[in-house]
Amino acid sequence: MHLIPQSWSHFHILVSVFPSVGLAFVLAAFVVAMSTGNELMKRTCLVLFGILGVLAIPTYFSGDGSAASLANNPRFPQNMVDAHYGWSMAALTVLVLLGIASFFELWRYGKVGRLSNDMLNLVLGLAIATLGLMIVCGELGWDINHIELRAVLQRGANAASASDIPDNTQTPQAWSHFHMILNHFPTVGLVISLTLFITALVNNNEGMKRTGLVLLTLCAILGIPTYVTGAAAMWAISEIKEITTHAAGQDPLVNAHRDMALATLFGLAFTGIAAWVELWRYRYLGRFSNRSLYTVLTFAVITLAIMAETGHRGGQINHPEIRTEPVPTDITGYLSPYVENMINNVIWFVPWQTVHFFGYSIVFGVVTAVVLRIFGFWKSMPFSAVHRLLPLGVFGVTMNVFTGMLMLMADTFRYVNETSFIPKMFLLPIGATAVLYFSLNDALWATKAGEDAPMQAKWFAALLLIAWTGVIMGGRLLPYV
Amino acid sequence: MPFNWPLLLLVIAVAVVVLGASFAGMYFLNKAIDGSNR
Repeated sequence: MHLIPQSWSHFHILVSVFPSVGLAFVLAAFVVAMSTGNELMKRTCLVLFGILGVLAIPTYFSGDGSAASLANNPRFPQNMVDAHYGWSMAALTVLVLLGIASFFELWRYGKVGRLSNDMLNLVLGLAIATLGLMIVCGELGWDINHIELRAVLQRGANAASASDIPDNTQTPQAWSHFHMILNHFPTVGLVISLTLFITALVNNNEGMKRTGLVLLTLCAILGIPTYVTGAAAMWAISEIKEITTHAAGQDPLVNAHRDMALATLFGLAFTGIAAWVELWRYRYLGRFSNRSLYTVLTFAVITLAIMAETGHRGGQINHPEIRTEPVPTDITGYLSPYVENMINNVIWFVPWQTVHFFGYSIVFGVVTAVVLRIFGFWKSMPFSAVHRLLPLGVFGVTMNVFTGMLMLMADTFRYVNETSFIPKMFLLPIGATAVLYFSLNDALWATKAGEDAPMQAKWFAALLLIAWTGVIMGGRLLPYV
Repeated sequence: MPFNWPLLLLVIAVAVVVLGASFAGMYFLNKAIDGSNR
């Protein structure tokens, strides 16, 4: 799985995403722990903050080592390295303070047997400050290597393009930029989520189990925009000679990555659905089934292994400085181009499109029922009655994601360059995440027949309605606007 | 253009599978929680 780095640059790429993206996940869990008063989760987050603080050391030394080894490489401009270094020093300093504060509080807890609210708030403040600085230095770090972000495509008026992108048309680099940022969330997020989930299982902590399941579901949802932006990024980089000399869809490095990403999407779907169904069942049974929890754990571990390989293959595309093996030249034998070719045949495309239409019909039906109850049109029913419909909605979303992905593969270039595709892809994860709210909110769950739903739930219901209406409208308008 | 029977049959098969999976899934999930009275 190529987990052992073989150069400073490789090590820096691997380790540096934990104090940035990993921190975001730990921070989310810490906020949940503080708002629910879950002591074990607070302590677990403090341990994780402490470990992230320790990671400041390898992050600094690997970055320093990379800068030294790549100093004469024209691909990495010195002024950009300097800017990244300056902000990184600030971010790592606050990260170390966060680690020290976390370990100090854990040590103090060992002495007095309880956590200090003031110290927890200090840790929270330091974590937010670190995250803010990490966003800046992360962005500056990505800019150093990702030359496509500053590339200006030079092309003669009627020159044949390097790929089959029609002349005078190019896929915006915003897609590669988003993919580069997004892909770290399901990957690093899965590591942090699994850590919390396993700790919860070992200590039999219900609140932490719920948090772990929620984070695993979120990782699965984030896999959707990651895959889509990846497919679009393939077109965005296809005319950057420093990255690929192959036509879009034919680069062996990209196809090796895409094939594994396809497997990852399935893994994430299994993990996310299994996690969410257990959250849904918990509402009715009031307890978790150990068999289901361990099923989720198995799916998550397998997905993480597949994802590590996907990430490694993705890194090979645009990081020549970390390659240790020769770049493959054989363009045959990859699954994704085969699927693309197959799905372009009407006998495959139309049935999958039918499933896609069934999918959003089911989703919109469930959304309408849930929204009508929350808005107060169906007060005669308790909320728990419409809550029963939610798995059908999740099933619809799953159908739509997979069939939508296949339809996307039929003509990726056209889809990703359509105006209404961007809002559609922006609203899809929002609509999917909003479903989590309806299976987690205690006040909403307690809404009995004849009672008004909480105002907060009404806002979420409006968001859900707008999101799914936008997704459907965005899809229908694809070829026309 | 001749009538595309294979495509029609495939789409009908897809509809049957989707509806079958939806109803079967809802049946089993609801069966598991029906006794909970929550």
